[in-house]
Amino acid sequence: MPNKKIVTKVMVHPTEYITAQAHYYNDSDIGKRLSGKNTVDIADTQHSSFFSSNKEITATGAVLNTGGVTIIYIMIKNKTGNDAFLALDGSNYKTKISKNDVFSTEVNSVSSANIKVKTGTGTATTNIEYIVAQ
Amino acid sequence: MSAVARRIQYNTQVIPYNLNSVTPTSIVFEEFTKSYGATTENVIDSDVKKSYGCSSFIDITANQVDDKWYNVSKNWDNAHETWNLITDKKWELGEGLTTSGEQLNTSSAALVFAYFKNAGSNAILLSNDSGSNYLFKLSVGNALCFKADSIAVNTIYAKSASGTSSLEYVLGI
Repeated sequence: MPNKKIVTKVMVHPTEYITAQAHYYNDSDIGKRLSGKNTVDIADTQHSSFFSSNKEITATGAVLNTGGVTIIYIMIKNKTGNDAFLALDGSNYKTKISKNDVFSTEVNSVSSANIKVKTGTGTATTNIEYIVAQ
Repeated sequence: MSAVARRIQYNTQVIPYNLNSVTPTSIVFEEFTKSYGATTENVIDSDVKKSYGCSSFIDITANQVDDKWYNVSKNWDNAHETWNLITDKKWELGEGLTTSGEQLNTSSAALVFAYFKNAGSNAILLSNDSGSNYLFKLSVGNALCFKADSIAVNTIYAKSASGTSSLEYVLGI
């Protein structure tokens, strides 16, 4: 049994605004709060770059885990001001991570070389914490 | 699908653990000795040294694309004569999936926020490039949410990794 694992929980509450009460209530389409939790067993031995508590990101995509390994789990926390964008295929940055957001997901055996993060265009930078685990 | 305004609150928690072995020990009290056997315990990962979390919200469009902007399991009743044995009776179990990729919604509107949960019994794979690559994985019971950038609602595909499974989702524009 692996000794390292990551426990995750995601909770989402869709709401709609009711003008008469000037308040957001449970979305009447969906009708409830949504959530899920999971435990991911990761390898006991990880590459030295599987984790960072402070990595600066620029508009040039940066590979986070440089170990050339197969990744099964990602967590990214955007610590500072500018949006960060995540690519899982090395080139298409389709997931946005705003300031103070934590993005967490299992991935389907993705090469670490294809997991990149960047900011928008120009000179924008931000700092992230991450776990990119095999 | 039409409202005055819609807002989605979201929370994520991440706790990295190590499973540590606890060696047998004994505590000698005045009147007796209490012995503890070998066991294991979860402690915060010694590399990461902390847990992570966030709590925020995002405003999405009041009028969503159509009735397929979400699909979640819903109960039509629950009953049992003994309260702690109550069983939910579901009339909708989320989107049924097979190993063939399925487009969840045909709208070409820009996706803003997505939520997925595996409500079935087999792992689910998700694609955000119209089914070319299934790079996201959802184990049974797991949920995932993200803000999208520069992709359309109709690029989101899902399939079961094996057999069949069931997916709850919200695709907000």
